[in-house]
Amino acid sequence: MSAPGIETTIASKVPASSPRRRHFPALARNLALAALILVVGYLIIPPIGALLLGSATDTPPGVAPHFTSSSLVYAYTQRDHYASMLLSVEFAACTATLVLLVGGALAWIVARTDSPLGRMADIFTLVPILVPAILFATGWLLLLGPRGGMLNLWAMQIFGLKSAPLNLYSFWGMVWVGALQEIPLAFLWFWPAFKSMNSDLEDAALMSGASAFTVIRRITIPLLRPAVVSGWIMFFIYGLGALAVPLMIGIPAGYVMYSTEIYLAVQRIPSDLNLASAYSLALLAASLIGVYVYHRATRDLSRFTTVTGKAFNPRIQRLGRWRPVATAFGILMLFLVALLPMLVLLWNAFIPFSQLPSIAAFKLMSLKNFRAALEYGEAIQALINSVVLGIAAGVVTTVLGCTIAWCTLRLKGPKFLLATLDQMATLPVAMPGLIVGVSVLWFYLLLPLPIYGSSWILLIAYITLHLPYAVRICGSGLAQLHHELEEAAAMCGAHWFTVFRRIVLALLAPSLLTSVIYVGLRSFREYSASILLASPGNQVFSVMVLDMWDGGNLNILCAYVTMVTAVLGVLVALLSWAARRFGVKVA
Amino acid sequence: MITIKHLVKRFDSTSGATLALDDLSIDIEPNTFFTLLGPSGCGKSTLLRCLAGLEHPDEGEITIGDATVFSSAANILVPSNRRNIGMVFQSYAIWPHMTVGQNVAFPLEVQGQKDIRRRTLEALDLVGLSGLDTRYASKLSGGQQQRVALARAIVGKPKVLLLDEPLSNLDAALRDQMRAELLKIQRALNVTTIYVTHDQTEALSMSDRVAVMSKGRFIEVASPQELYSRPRTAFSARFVGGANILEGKAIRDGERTTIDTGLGRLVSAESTQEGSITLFIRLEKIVWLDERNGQGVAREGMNRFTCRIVGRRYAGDTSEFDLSPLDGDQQTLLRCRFPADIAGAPGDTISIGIAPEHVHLLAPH
Repeated sequence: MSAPGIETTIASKVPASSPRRRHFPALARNLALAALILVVGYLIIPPIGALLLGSATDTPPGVAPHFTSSSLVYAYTQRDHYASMLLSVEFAACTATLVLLVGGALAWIVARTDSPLGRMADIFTLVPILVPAILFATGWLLLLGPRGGMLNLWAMQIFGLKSAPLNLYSFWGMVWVGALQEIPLAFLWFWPAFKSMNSDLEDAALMSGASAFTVIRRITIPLLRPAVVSGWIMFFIYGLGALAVPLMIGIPAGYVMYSTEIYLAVQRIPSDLNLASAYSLALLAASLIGVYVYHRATRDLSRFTTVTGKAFNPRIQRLGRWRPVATAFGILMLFLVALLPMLVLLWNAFIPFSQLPSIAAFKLMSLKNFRAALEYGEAIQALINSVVLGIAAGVVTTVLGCTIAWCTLRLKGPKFLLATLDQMATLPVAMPGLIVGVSVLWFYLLLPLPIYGSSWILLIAYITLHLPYAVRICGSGLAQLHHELEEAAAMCGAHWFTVFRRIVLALLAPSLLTSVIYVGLRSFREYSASILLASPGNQVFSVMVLDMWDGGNLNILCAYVTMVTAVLGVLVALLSWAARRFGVKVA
Repeated sequence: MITIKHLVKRFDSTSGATLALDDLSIDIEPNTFFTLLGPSGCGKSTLLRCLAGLEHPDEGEITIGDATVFSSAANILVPSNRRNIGMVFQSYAIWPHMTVGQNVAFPLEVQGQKDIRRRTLEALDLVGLSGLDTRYASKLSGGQQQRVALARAIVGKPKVLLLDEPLSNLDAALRDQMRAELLKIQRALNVTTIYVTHDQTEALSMSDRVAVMSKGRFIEVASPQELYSRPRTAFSARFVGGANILEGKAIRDGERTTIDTGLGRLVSAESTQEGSITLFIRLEKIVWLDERNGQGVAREGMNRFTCRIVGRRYAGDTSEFDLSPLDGDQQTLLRCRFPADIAGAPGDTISIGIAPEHVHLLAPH
């Protein structure tokens, strides 16, 4: 699934009946709502239906379905498959725990102590966007791979070892990469919660005579329980559905994870989609359960509310002699999570094979890899496809998401319809990219429309995957738009559409832009669904990267990725500048 | 000008339906300043928003001028943007992405009117904001934003002006100033004004008529003077002006009435039927009988009591005292106001007097 986002909560809820809602003629409104539900339903229900169909038959799509339980039986009676399930659970649990501990500690250091790491929040916002999972795994392969890994070569050189001391191709190697990759996201998960903590609650404990440690133990940590529990669940689900680490590190290490099984079932020749569907059911069930538990954990959030609308600035903890330690920790994490992988990718882009920097190495530097990347198969076309698809997905998803957010927040209508719309729009959160890939694949093989094998299938998958984020971002923007701003315009005599155009859209513009950029970037780096849905002539960036890795062309991969990241970086910088200029008017 | 008939509004919540407006009927004269006064949750804002068209009542009828804007029987509902009403919101609702001039010009633009520039500047002059028309609205102080909201509400020369607690976000000094200015503007424009507040000072100083509301009903509708000196319910007496409410048994005594209360026996200059009665005494009408202190002298027929000072609170120009009668019910507490620099501490025994004409009887509920 799409990785836990920058937002602290992904699910949105329809608020209880609020009197500040706009009235419309009932028939038109109900029809419009029904149409919206149909659109969202079309994105989600038929693919899941296809998944269920696939598990219950042993015939591929397009052939008359032969219902049998053989696919399900086979899927769930192989001992190997339970082994891979267990492995996935272990992997997901280890990464989630590690990620929360480190990410939480970092967020604490930045948000609540006097360490000089203030800017970290900004950097960590960018990193997961600019360094997608596949690149991250590749980077660490180049660092800790047993044969050519640079850190290994370096250690061998310094300590005079005969073989590499650290082997990435191991269970803990997988956990290492998987955890590091998600630490920025865990940081962003906790950071807002820490920043808005009400220190009155802790001060009251201090006034009652508690020691600093007791305050943390009995006040701070219990108050953070919802964030910790829900965070762990989200990262656990993500770990279950992850594909980059299992593919690029797991398989060479001899570990087959659950997500790998699904992938292999689709990609093998002949493709066994029934098996893939049957496997997917377990993953889907696990995700749904996870999201349900997440909802329960965050439901009584009001008991733990540390934010009540007023801006609180939490008390800053003075670190004293721990300050250099904390700062060093932060900088180390920055290295491991961002700088090191990016640097190693950059270095390898210029050399023909992985080696340590040396005079000899510098002599070998050239632009050969870049040229090879430009000529590599569909690499450039894939890049163009990804950019176009990214922009298209961003725009369409934002329009849809904004409409849904507006209806659930501002429209007065039948509560049942509004709640259904809201729940459906956030359902994709529980669907890992892999599941969306398999289900969409199946559905559009069934449907006699020329969507499979074209870019449209990718677009549909991206919209489905990222709709909850668009709804959430536009929803936040709308929630901050005081309803009286719209009412005042109505009182001045403005027609509904004028109000929407001159007040709502104008003030919502920054959120809309954020949504387009966010969804666009996520679509650009999406790989789990893309692998299954891309086809010759309709390649995308992430699939190309995997292709290069598969063929052993790691250095060309690095060159390709360097070029793309540079272009992407420039684009993002331009857009930020434009957004700031545009945003100035909104004050 | 405005006629409301049998207006009912219900709100559904998870705990069942609540009646926000309970069968309200009233007539409001043209060009008057009419205030809705009451505690939070009494329905005053809901009523205002029904007049504006931002809430839809469930039953009843609203007529503004010659036009019926709402009728449940005839299924009429004129939307907010066609009622030609000016409204000032509690949060001011100034659009942050527009300048002051653009904010104020907006009604004229969307209604396709002429001469926009001149009329905008004229409205800004009237509220005292000349020269600020190019400033971005979000860069103004609270008081300035409030004036922009007012200018925007009146620029279209509406027939009715609605104000929803416009002064509640301002500090005390600014509030005093704005009260006077609002009144001046209303008189200058001669527009029917409905004002919602929970502050009795605003209600008393600005209004032609005040409607005291509680739980969705009109408790009392009267002029400020009547409301203060002759409130007809204990609720109004307490809400407007602060009062000591006492219960007792009344016995008619010629043209006067004698009431036995927890304070003691009181003689009132008003007459009523015999039996259970509620009465009130304004805080500032209680006289401290102490010639030494420069306070009042006992006069013929005055109700006199000996009390002990139980509490004292300083309030700048006056101090508020809590008194407990030495004879009579120990639980009864009398609140009164005396000059702040008077000598008297908790524990002291003093003599007080209440003139019979200041013992007001309330109509039986």
